[in-house]
Amino acid sequence: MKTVLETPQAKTGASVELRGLRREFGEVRAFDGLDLTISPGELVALLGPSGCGKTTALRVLAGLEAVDAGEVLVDGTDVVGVPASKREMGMVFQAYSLFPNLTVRDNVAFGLRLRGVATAARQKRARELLELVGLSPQEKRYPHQLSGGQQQRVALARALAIEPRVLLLDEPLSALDALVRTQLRDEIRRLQLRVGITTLFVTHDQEEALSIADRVGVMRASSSATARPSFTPGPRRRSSRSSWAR
Amino acid sequence: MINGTPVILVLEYVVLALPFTYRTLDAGLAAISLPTLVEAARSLGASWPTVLLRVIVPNIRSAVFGAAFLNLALVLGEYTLASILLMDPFPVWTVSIGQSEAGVSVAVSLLSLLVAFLLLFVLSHVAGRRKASRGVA
Repeated sequence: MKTVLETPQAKTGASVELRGLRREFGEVRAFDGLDLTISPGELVALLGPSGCGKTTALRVLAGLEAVDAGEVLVDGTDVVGVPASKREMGMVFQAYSLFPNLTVRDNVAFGLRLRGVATAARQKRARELLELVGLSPQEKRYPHQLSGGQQQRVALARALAIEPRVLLLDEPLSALDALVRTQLRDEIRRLQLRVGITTLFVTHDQEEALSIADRVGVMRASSSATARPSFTPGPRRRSSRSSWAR
Repeated sequence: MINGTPVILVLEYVVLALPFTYRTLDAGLAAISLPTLVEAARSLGASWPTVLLRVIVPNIRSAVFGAAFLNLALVLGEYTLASILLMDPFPVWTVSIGQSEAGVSVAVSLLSLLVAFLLLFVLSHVAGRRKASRGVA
């Protein structure tokens, strides 16, 4: 299957570096002195209990959350002052993020439409992406007509459509039931390796983190001042690509 | 100044309409997962005006229609303040014409009832069809 995603510029992921991040909500400190480096094309999972600041870290990278101190470097450039709409980050949310008034195809094409891509070109691209996530037959449906797993596939296709520099996954599987969760988890990994995109995956599920990531960063609940994730290599490294090809 | 011009009526109607409009639109916004949709649109590159026009408004369409029709009905029936302001809109005119020609007054009153009924019918039809096409359970 040949798609636009296999063009050279999409193959090279961006590098990401978070340096000394601090974020406080009033008295509550989400994290202080958070450092995290993601190499190009790497999938890093952030694992931790709820309230440890892992989602906040991801939202800071997306530009959806302000930061009190520190730097966010994408390909060596600080993007702290850049608004979310200009960061070129593909984001998949926990659930219900598809636009209810648009069909599946128009949802995927939404980002391209904002970029002024011509109708025919963006519909072609949307179709290719839907084929990639195996949802071509559903392209004319509306989000409410899809199952939870299908909706998350569409959200993934929509995020990838804009050829983002970094893919951000904010607990994309936690609203799904166990079987679908495993399938989609494997599929996300397969796609990520294929596109070669730098990815940050936030989860509270240990098994999920260990099975999908190149490296797993563990964050502790931030009663302590510093929340520096300690890293464990995931069991499936990028080199074991063939085992994912199926 | 604005006394005795229709501008004073506009000001009055705006104040009267605000609570109804607010409640209706608020209910419409509560029915969608607003923060997630806004953030999804932002991350896809949408500016704030684009978020408002392409994402929020289309998804609260029936609430916007509802607010519009509600206010139309409100304005069509508002007598007291318009009369105090010495203006002569539809309800005030209906009363004053009724004093000399009762038949005309009855006829336009009936007509306004029919129009209001028609508007409500159209509104519920539009909202109903939207629900059906979305399959909201």
